[in-house]
Amino acid sequence: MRALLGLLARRYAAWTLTWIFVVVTLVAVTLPAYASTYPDQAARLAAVRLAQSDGATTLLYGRLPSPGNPAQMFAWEVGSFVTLLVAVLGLLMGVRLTRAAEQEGTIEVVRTAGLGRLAPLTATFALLAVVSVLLGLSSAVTVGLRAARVAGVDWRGALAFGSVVALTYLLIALITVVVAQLVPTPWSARVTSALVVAGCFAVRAASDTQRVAWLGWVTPFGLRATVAPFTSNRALPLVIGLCVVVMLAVVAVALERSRELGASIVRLSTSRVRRSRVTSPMGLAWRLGRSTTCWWVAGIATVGAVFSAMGASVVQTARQGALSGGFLGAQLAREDPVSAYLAYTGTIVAAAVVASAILATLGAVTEERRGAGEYLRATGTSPARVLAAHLGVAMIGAGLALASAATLIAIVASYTLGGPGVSGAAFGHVFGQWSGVLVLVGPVVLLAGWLPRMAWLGWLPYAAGVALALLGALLGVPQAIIDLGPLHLAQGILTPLLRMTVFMVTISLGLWAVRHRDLALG
Amino acid sequence: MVAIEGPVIEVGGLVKEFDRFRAVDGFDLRVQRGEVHGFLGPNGAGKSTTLRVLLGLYRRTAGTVSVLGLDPATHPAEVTRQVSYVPGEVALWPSLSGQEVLDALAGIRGAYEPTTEKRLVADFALDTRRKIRTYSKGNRQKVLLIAAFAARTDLLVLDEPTSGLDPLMEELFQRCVHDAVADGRTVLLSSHLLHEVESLCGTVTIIKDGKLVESGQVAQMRHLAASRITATVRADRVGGVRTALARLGMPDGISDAGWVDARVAGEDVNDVLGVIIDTGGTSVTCTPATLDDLFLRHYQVTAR
Repeated sequence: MRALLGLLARRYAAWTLTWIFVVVTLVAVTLPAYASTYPDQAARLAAVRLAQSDGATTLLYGRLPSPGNPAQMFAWEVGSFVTLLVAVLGLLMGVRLTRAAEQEGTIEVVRTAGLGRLAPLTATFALLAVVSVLLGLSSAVTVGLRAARVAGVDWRGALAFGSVVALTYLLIALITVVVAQLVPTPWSARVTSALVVAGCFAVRAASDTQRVAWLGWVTPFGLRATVAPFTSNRALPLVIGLCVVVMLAVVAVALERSRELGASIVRLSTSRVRRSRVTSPMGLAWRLGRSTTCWWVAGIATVGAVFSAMGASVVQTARQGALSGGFLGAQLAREDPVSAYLAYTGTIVAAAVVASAILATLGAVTEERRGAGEYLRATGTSPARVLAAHLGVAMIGAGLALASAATLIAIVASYTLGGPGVSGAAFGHVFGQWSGVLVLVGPVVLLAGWLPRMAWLGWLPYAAGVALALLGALLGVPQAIIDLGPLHLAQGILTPLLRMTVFMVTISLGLWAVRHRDLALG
Repeated sequence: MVAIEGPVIEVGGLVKEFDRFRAVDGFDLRVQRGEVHGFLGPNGAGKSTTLRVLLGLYRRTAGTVSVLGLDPATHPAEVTRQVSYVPGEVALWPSLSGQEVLDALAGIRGAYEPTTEKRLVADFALDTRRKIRTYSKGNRQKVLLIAAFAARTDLLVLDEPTSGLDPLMEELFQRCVHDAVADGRTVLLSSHLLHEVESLCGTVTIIKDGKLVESGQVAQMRHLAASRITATVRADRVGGVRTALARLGMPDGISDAGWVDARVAGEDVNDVLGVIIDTGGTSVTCTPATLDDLFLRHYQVTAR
């Protein structure tokens, strides 16, 4: 078992540590900002009062506890992002270690290497627990080191905050492990688990906006409110959460025992012969990625519409000059609040669209490295056509997502924000991000074509762009630099043209490079 | 069918390096039209690398390569359009059904025989309604074999295509290969199954450590390989037989008790049998070399 754990740790170490690093960085760079956001006590109290009474911010972040000191504001605002981030990590890791490993055949190898039937699942639990502890400890220490330097931060609160982070991760990961036993494929496990996570978030939002306190106890995202770091630092919700973790593990073991290796509780239908009309690499790439694309389009449009619906109260708050601090305050600190809020919504939508486009483009590398591309290329298809096909699907998905989100946001904004020309402005702020999408996808194509094993580096410009757009103002980055970011809404024709040129040059180089290199396997 | 003069595949002095590792080192290969050519070698000998160079999937470091009269490095798509390839590792798209994969591959290639595909699906007993992820290795191999034989191509490049098939399906595979050759197609078959190679291939090429070690007609190679001769000789004749065997380069071919057990090259078999019979040897047996004998001595290889 120790050898198996070592193997898993070695396999996922770089990937997991990267996530932990992102979480710690987010915590480390944002916490000090709360100490200096408000010019005086009166401004902070005004912001707290508005945040506590504002429906939109309550829906997004939950209820801000009194007295709303910087530590509480940090746990309330940044804590919501951190818990969401670790939930995504838990979801991805839960599927990777179970259903995906089962499909790859690695679990079969492990189970026939002299270990018991439950060894892979036990090792999964152990690894998830280790990552959970690492996440919790690193978050707690990062926050705790600011004790006495940021008002309200103390070691007890820091430990409570770290525990919330760790337990949120562990609960979502365990839920995913259970879901992965029920459904037949890694993809369906990810989608189903994502729906469960969305449901958990919705329950938390309902609990806070409708003031139904008990609902907060039935969702992992309610831990922030029930534990209340830097406020009451309750231990009971953590104990209950740990009990639920044990229960989920027992359920997962029972499900594992009740099915054959590779099988699922929900079966696939094989009642009829499905024919395919694919006649090109593009057609095949679309057939393989169409359902994922549809999910992304629907998800992004929905999130955009929700943001748009929440806009009225945020804009009202900003107009009153009370939203002068924190993450959202920094986003709306300049120009007309309506325009700023729409730009903020456009940034959120664009960040999600770019993520989906990068994943779709990297599909070409994934296919090539696992061997499917070898056979495709042996049918008379050039590697550039294969890469272009995945890029094409990525662009179709991005275009559909931007257009549908922009349309939906424009319609919703006309009701919620009102005012002359708000629909057109909303559409422009969202759809206007097209050049930002292109400029971030281009380097990914270049890397996929040139250095497929390093294609993951394509995420770096994306991460930097998102961080600059969402955290730049909060961290005091000069506006001139923020304006240079890829997700800053381009004005005029020059910037889009420049971004378009970067896109064309990088994809041309990528498509040229892929024709002049060996097939990359493994 | 493309009319090409000369060999279908001609490789001269092929070198393929990955960073500092030389996977193929001055390798030569010649495959004539209409033949089934066996391609043999131990694991890691460079077989799959060579096949990928032939298909333009890998770029050669040095040497010349011609497939169907074209250089795969400069015309990869033109070459592969006329080649059916079954790779050693079968990695298909798990979310598609078997039929969807067959349709997609046929649609992208644009030249295949639907009736042949239908017949092969029935012959190979493949349930094409099921998703690829539910297939065993053998069934995934069947999908690619059906696609390969149903495609309208001149050359089949098969990299260990039957490693997951049961004996019945192996027999069916051999029939498919015979049919393909009868249709004027050429087959390059990489395999570890020596009985398969023996029954299918007229010519073989053996590669080891990236280098050519032997190439030619199977019958001729068997003739040249060592046969095993055993016999019993009276004790008083042992010395004379030993001297005669030593002259032929086999001083250890006889024990002091008079038991003869010698590996004898094809051209020396008559001489050795003559010595034994002249000395009144009894229980004489002579076993011709099998392909196993021929190949296994080349398979002994150090890890690279």
